[in-house]
Amino acid sequence: MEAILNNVDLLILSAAFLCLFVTLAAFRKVRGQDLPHPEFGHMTGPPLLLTILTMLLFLTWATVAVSYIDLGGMNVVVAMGVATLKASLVSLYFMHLRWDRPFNAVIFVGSLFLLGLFLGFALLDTGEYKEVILDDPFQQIQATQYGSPQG
Amino acid sequence: MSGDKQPQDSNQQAGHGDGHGAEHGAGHGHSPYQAHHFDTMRQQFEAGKLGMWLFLATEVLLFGGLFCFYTIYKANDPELFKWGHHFLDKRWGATNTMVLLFSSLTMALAVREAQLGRKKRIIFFLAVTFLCGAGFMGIKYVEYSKKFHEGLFPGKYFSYENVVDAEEVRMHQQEQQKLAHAELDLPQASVVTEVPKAQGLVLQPAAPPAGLAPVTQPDDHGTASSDGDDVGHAPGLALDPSHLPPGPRPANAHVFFSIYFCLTGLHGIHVLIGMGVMLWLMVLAMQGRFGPGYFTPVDLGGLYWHLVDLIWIYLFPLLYLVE
Repeated sequence: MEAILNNVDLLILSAAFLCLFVTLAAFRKVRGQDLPHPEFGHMTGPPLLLTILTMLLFLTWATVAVSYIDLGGMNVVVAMGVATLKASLVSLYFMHLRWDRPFNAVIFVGSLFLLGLFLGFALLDTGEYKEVILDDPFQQIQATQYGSPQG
Repeated sequence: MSGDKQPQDSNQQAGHGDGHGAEHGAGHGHSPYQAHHFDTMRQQFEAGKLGMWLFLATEVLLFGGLFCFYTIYKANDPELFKWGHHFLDKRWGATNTMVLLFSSLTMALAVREAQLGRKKRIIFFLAVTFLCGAGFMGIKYVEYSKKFHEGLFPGKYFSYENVVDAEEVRMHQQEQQKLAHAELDLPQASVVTEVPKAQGLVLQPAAPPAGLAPVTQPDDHGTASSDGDDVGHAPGLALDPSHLPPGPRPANAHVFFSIYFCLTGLHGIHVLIGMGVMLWLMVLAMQGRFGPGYFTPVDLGGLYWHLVDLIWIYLFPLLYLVE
């Protein structure tokens, strides 16, 4: 158990390759067949879903493997970039956004945009404070002398 | 969850969902699952989906507050995360990512089977998704119980006791090692500079917060060179000193665990809710409700499950991987 866990990056990689073989087998199986068309909604075939899972597993392996290398400030950028790529795959294919009405995508991307605004303004604000406001003793005395209404 | 209330008809005609506006009043000729205020099943499906996406947007903003919590502390105090992420096991985190990604695939397959109306396969894929969720929570249980054992609770329940104990033991170990090293290489001149360094380490213990129990420190300074390495295996230590982060502990270390428990806790609650949704969908599937004309509940439950997966995709690197 411990040995498997210690090589979790290899575990992910082997899962990704296993998934790749299953994907290829699934593609062979449906070759020449027509995809069924539902009356509404979009139906995604197993080969495409398996392809997406394979890509997701390879990306997971990549992000875990990169975390062992110190790239300085680039580590965050790589991790977030890979996460965003994975999130796009999940939302476009697993959540059918690619074939959905565009308005659903507008709602979803809009919520992410608003989240970005929220985080961005919070970051702008939090950078504007000094840790110590009254670091100058003379200033402190002045503040106690002239700051209070009784003084 | 879906807005579609449907009458309990015993004779189900799922699969013939194309009701027409003209024969709407007749009471038959359209799916029993079609609500009165929709012209067609397609319209009902699209409306349900739109509502679900609006709900998912509010979920994104709900987690957004906690992501803001994370971002603010990450911006102001990066040391906190550099120190704290050593307590999280990225091996378990990566395993959980795989489990959740796989469950997303089975959920998508369940939606497809619902569209095809193959009852047994719907139930099978929903059950696999449910079990993956249970596996995820099982791994979470392993991770959480380790932290609770070490006294690393969220918020005001956090206890520095075990961390400080382990730090003291580790410092003692380092000192013993240096002393042993010093005695071995006594003739060398470099030793003279090394011994005071070791003592200097002892003189400044990690600033402990209030209310500390006295540390059970082995007091065999005289016999340091003989059994210097055995000190670390002192009994009664809840936290292994070798598992401590290498760097110094930041002043507000407990905040990291508040962030960790808030984010993963809210996510875990969502996984539990998602598992409940899977059970509900399995009951509906057993009643044979789903078919090409009516699969909205499975589709919307799937959207919810994928969103939970999506949030984990971000949580995993932010908490476990990024320093």
